[in-house]
Amino acid sequence: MKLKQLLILISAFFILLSGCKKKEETDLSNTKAPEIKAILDVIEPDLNKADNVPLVCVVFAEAGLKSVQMKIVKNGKETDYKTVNEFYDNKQYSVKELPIWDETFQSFKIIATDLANRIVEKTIPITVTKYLAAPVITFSQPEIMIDENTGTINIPRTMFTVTGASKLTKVEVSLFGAAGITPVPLNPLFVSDLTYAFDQEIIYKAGDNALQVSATDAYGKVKIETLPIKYISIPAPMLTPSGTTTLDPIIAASGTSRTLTFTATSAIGINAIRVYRLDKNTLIELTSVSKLYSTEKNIAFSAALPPFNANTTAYRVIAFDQLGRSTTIDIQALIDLDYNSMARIGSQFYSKVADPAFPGIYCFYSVKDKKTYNLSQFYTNRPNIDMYFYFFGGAVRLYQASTNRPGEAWSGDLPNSIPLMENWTGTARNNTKIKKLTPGAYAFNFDNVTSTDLKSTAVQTYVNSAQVTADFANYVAGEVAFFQTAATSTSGVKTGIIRIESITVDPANNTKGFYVVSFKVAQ
Amino acid sequence: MEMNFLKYRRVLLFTITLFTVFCSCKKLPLQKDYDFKGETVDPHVKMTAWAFMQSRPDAFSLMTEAVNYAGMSSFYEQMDVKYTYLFINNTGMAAFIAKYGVLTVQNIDVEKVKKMLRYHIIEGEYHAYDKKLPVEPIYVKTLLAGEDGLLTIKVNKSSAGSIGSPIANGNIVLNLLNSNYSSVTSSSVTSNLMPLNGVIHVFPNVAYYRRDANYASAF
Repeated sequence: MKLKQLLILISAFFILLSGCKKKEETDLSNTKAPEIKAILDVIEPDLNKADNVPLVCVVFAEAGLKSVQMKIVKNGKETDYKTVNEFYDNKQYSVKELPIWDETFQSFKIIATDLANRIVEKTIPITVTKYLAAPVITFSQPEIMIDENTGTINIPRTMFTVTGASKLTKVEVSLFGAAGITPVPLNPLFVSDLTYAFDQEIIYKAGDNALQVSATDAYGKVKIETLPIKYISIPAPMLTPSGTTTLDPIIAASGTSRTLTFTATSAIGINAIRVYRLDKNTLIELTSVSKLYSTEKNIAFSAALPPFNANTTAYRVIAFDQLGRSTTIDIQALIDLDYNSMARIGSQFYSKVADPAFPGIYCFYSVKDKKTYNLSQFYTNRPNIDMYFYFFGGAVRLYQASTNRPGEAWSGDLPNSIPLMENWTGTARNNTKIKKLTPGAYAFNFDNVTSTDLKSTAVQTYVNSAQVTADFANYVAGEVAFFQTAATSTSGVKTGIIRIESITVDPANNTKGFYVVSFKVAQ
Repeated sequence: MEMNFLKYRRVLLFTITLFTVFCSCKKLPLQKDYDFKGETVDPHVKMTAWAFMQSRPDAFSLMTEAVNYAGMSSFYEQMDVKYTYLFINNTGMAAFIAKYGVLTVQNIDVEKVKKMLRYHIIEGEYHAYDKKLPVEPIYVKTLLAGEDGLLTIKVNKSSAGSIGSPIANGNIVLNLLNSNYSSVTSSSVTSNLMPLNGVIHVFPNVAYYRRDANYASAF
């Protein structure tokens, strides 16, 4: 037993002996004390920014660092922020800290202790840029109020000021209304500064509902304020034809006259009803028939027009209310012109039999009768047909009555003893002249042409010039042609103008279809 | 009596054996890695950074011109403190000069050149040896003062983290993406050269600090 104990004791002694080693001690007396080098001498966090530069510095310690303590001084009080005791490289330690800045920060203190227990500290001042509020927009009045029921439209000047805690970089004004959003130019012009004062007379109108102002400062802070607009409108005056007056064109001979009658109503009273004559684009007030009113709300208006003249293209009647708002009615005038509006005419497919949906619609047109006839009627009354309408593979062609399409079956009706047109004998067919009107070639168009225009030398010369293919072929909807009926026509020699309003071609048969055409013929 | 003698003889033998065993103990070197690792070439260049720069005109002739133009050769030849020198090779310097639309560095505002060179000298030694540089970017103090002097540096320790460079392990990366605002990342083409006065890493482009896309860099 004693022997065993002795052996254990000896073993333990050697084991302990083997673990003994003299601790290595480094002489640090010749090393330099730690050194704290700030990368930025002053930290200037800006509470208005999200990407402030962190607090950065490097601590060098030749002897090796034992610890680095960091403290924050706020409101004169020092508080512990962080202590580092473990270092990847204890001879040079990079500090990067990004505390949650607030405006009480005054400085950041770094205390470095090296392995020789030497302590060095450095204080890095902190200058905080305080949080700056977004720009403030102040309107001079809480809303824009315009009430037409008062009888006057009193629009106040629009004024607002913008004040920024930092420089303003942008001010934008937008008007929201029924028509959408409209940018409002700034008055005075914007100059980047701490304040901006807007002062402008904006002509608000019915449907406007808000003025939005957006201001942006140097930090990108945006403030949007809205000025409500209350525009109480009353309806514009009503003007309605009455009696025998309609909105249909006035078709009359020069020198004759007519009386137009209307009823005019306005909730705030009619101020005036003015009548004008339109000679193409020239507006001439017929002062003898225009009338002024005081506050009447319902008026039966009668205008005895002066005798018509051949240059007049329309009459215009305008009713004004007490606020100066108006309602206009235009009535087209066709003086010394015969008018056939939106006439349906068939293609050659309908030379003999009409479409059941459009009875009486054929391809042969009579200027005198302003209607179409079938082949049989044409054959027996040739002077009454001036032109016919033809689809050439689906393309429009306007042919004078005398034109033949040899061998085409539609042009004859042999079972009923009507030969093909090229074989007709006897009474000659009308050699109507057709010339295409090149857009812009004349100072008038189909809508405002007058009989004077059609009788002018220029048109007469042109319509009597030699026909080229373009004069009868390849018309498209909207195109216009002059024509002049032959002396043999039942209408006599008349100069007119045609507008192809629309064309319909049967997709299964390109000879089958309809035209819608308007005619004006000088009388 | 004889029994006691035998017992004491066993104790004596055990003690002698134990003593002999411990006497033969000697500190052995640490266990090496199982896999073979080649020896690195000696990274030390027995000259100053300035002498090294001049010794390699094929790579640094333009930077040498820039240092002379800025009158900053003393920073590269001093022996008082250890610096980490970020060298720009001729490719990088040519691009830097071209950025100003001129043909030679002498046509660039000398203050700009000084700032550029100051940005490329770091106080302290940062290299891949002896845990002098972590694999995560750290801010270091360059000789360019103020915010424009902010620079981060890191070392790559595996090919996985290496950025566009022939060197994987030991490659030095400046301003790693998102580590220093919008500064452009640079990756060394040669690294961890040890002149007498610090460390040299070589880059194919000029690094610079940029806070955001609209920031006017110092050079």
